[in-house]
Amino acid sequence: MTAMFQLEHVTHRYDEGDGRGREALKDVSLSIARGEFVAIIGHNGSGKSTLAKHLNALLLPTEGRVLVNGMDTRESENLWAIRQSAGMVFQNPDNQIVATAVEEDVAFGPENLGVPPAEIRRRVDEALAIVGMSEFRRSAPHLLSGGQKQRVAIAGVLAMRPEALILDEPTAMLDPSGRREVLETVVRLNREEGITIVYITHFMEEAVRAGRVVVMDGGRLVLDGSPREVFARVAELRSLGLDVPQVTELALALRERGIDLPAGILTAEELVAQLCRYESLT
Amino acid sequence: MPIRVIDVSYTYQPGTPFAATALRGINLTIEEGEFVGLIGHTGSGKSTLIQHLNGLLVPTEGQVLVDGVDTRVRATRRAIRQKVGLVFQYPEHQLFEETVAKDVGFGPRNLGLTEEEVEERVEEALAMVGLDVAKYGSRSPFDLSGGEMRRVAIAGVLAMRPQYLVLDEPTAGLDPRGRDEILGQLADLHRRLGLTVILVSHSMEDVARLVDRLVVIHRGRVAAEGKPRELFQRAEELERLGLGIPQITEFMRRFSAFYPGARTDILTVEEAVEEILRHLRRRGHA
Repeated sequence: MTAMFQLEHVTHRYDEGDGRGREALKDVSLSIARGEFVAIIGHNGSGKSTLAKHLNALLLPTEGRVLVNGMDTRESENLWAIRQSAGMVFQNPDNQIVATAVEEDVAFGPENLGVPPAEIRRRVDEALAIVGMSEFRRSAPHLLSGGQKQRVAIAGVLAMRPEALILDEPTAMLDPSGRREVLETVVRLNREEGITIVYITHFMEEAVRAGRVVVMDGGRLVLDGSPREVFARVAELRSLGLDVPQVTELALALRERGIDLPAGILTAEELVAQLCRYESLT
Repeated sequence: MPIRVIDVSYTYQPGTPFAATALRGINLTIEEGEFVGLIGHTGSGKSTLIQHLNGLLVPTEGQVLVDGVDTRVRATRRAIRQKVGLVFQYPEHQLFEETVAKDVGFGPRNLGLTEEEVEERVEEALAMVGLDVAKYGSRSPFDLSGGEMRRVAIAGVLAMRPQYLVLDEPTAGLDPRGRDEILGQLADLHRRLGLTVILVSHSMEDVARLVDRLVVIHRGRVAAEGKPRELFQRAEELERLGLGIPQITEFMRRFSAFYPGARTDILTVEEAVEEILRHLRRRGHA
């Protein structure tokens, strides 16, 4: 089966006007299957956003190639089909909302695709229902909370019926409840709608929810595995300027104090269960 | 001397169809030398409130006194802005000079200081955010990393030698290392220089380990107030207000359900380790 995203030896050089350019991606190869939920972490400037923009042809590789659903992003005739199958959500919800009512905003994409009005209606209703924003369909977007705006932005992309969603730090500007809303929405889209998710974040406790975590550093892919595998490598992550969730940090600190716990504990439930098990064995 | 916010209400575009009330009768005193955290969901009024602290906005009703001086008095506004330094969200968007030194020196130069004094302040302010003037001074601010750019922007405010430093989500969008660097420097400025710091944050983990006192803003009012250790015991209430509690505090709540008597007023990983070990030991397991 064709991968949703296939990067083959991708290098990207930004033109800095000095004839040399800066390499933001260096020989990156990565394959993301349909239905996966992949979190990408890495410090500022590690190449995460550059990578994300290659996934729907907002940027093209300087070397190597990117296939979206088997379509080469360098072929300009593929552009529409690629953008439709892989939608992008950015950090600042205020920059992504264009209309004066929520439902008009969500309709903007399909209208531009030339979708017939009755079908647009259906898609808008469906997209708003999926993100839990139906009751706000006639509201003015600027009166919504940050989390609600971001869910409207996601609905706008869903109305294009994409197979994949690429989210570039969608919770960076949100308050705690906004962050919860957006993350739960994304988890649901993946589980219930089968949408492939590529999720860039600086919040390690969000990355834990993905099925796979990819770590970038200096334009290269340096770690790739399940959250458990990746977050077990605490020292390595710290040396990359990253962190681990507080619960993982706590489990590690307890291990260092002689409590025999397995590596890569990710959630509060797991840690409590492991502590109880430890007690029953000693 | 403190900053006193007395019965302050603020309405944007009053008397028009677009009138929107952002603050409703806020009372708040910030003592000199305090480290205060302001939390509240998006749109709660936090940003409107902090713009009142240096006279950028003046109350529709009520008054704000900075060291006893009313911010409504035009003649003293300049002095108040100098005394209360305000760092906006994404302050690096406001960098504009060719070099880091020029950018940080912009404010002091406008005060009419001599070049020598300006240089001294630039060096001092950059050092406060952990940047060496010899290494960074002549670089373009736009060639720096996101975290470095933000520290340069903060240095620009510190170069005015404010007594109060107000920051609106200074770590938004930064990676964990950038976040730790900035927060570490704020803690240091507060401890070493006695600078009063008012920090607006969406990160419960960050405020938990940094601030002396938390103020919760909700719908333009002060909804709750207290030491982090006490306030974060009120998890359900905070969740209703669109907030939460630190991950580690949440963990200790769960832990205490299995280990009755375990403390739940825990704010850091270090504290949690000791508390857990104490319990395991008491039951003879560690």
